[in-house]
Amino acid sequence: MIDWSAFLLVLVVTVVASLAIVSVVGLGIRLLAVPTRPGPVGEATDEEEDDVNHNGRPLIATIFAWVSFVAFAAIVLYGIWLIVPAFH
Amino acid sequence: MEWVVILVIVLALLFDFTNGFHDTANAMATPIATRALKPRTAVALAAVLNLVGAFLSTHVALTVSKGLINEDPAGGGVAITPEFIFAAVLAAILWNVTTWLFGLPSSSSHALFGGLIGSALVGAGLGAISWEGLLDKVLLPAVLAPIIAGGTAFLATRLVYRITRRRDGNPNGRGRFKIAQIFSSSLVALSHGTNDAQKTMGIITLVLISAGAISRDDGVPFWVIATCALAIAIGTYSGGWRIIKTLGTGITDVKPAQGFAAETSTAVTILASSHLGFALSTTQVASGSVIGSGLGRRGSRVKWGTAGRIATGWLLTLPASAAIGAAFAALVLLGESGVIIGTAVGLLALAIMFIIARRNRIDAGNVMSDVAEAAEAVSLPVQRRREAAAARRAAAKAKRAAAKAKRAEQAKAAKAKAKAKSKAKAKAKAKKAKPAKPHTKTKQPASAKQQERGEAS
Repeated sequence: MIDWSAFLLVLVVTVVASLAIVSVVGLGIRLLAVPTRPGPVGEATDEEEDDVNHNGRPLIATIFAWVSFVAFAAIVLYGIWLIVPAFH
Repeated sequence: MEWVVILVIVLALLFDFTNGFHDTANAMATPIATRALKPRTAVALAAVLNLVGAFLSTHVALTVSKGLINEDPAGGGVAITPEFIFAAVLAAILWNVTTWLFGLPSSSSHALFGGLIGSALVGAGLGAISWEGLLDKVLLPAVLAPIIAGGTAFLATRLVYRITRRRDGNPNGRGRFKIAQIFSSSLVALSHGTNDAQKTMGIITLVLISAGAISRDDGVPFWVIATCALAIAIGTYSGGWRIIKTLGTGITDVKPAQGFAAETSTAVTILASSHLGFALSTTQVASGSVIGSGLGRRGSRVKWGTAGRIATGWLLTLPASAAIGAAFAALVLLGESGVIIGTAVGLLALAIMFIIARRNRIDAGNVMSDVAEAAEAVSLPVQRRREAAAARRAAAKAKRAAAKAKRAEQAKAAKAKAKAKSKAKAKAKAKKAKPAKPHTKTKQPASAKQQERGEAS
């Protein structure tokens, strides 16, 4: 008997956890790129842009960015806690 | 035959070492390449995380020690003897060395299982192998896990670009994913320890069971976990120096945001699979993720030729190492002398591997990690633009050269024509003038020359 439910579990866990991690980290990084004043606008709107506008980011954006990073750490630690038998 | 058990343990630890040696690049090449981490730090971090990962769980080890080889019908241990496990490990090592030398994509995990299957078939027949366990815990995960990882990486890459996209033209700060990649790479190193170190633990436990040293229902002895963890950590650390020396050759167009998405999918897939006891190839999962995330970027395409070559290498590993395992098992059937001959062959192969590694031969085959190679299977608009630009430049150059050659030819032809014309004219004039005015003879060639110059320019 092939245990298909195990594969389904791996699929669901992988998709949910990966997308959750990528979302919170992406959100945090996006929030860190929030400028108050319009910063220098590069003519190249490439998908990869290294320069981040530091001209006075709202405090709330910084705080939520860090909340996102803490959420990332929490997801990772929870995942590891789940798979280590010594913690159960 | 106690010494065979010790031999298997030593060989298995060597196998573990080479596994770590081979796979450091998979986890740590990106943060080193993007300068997010210093090479020394990255390699040390990978080694420590592999060590820690090896201690996290033993599900995969139990799959190898209990799930693949059937119980001995006579009671007690397993259906095969330590000698055949020896043949299996030797086959796996030889296959790894060979593929490494020729730069073929391969999976050390599948080499190990292939060797075990081939050896058990020769040593104990069809009944020795738990075909259901093999299908459920090795073969199906081998096919499904890279697909799951690839699909997830595709979605994750799409999502991460959507979340960080800005429409007002301000910088989107995606360069910060370089920092995030330190964490995702660390997770990959950790997951590598949970899956790959455990395969060796499983083999050592299996040989202990088959020798009757421990019972089948015992778990993995602690000293086995500790030595395997150390072996893979040391292998990871020493393998890292190779990457550092050759840094800059294997860097692909994987961007930080994309790399983060790919590594996250890899790590989560491996960790979830390890927890369920799936013994999969970490390299294949990572390759699946890299290809999936490449497809997640706008305008990318799969290069089917490269992807096909990688897939062929994967498919070949299991039957090829099974054949080598069967050959060694046949050798082992000869008795002790067979084991000694096998050891000699194995040691020779390892010696060759280390001599070549020392010589530090640098080519695409041994420098680029398998995962970096998988990234080559996706072509991105950036690459295509670059190639098109290069092609355009080459075409323009060729055109210029052709035009130049044409001009030169035209000039030459004109020159020749003018020369012929002027010569004929001069001749005719000279003929005409000769009887009347012999002194104009010197003037004629000069005017012809002038005419010629005017035509040529």
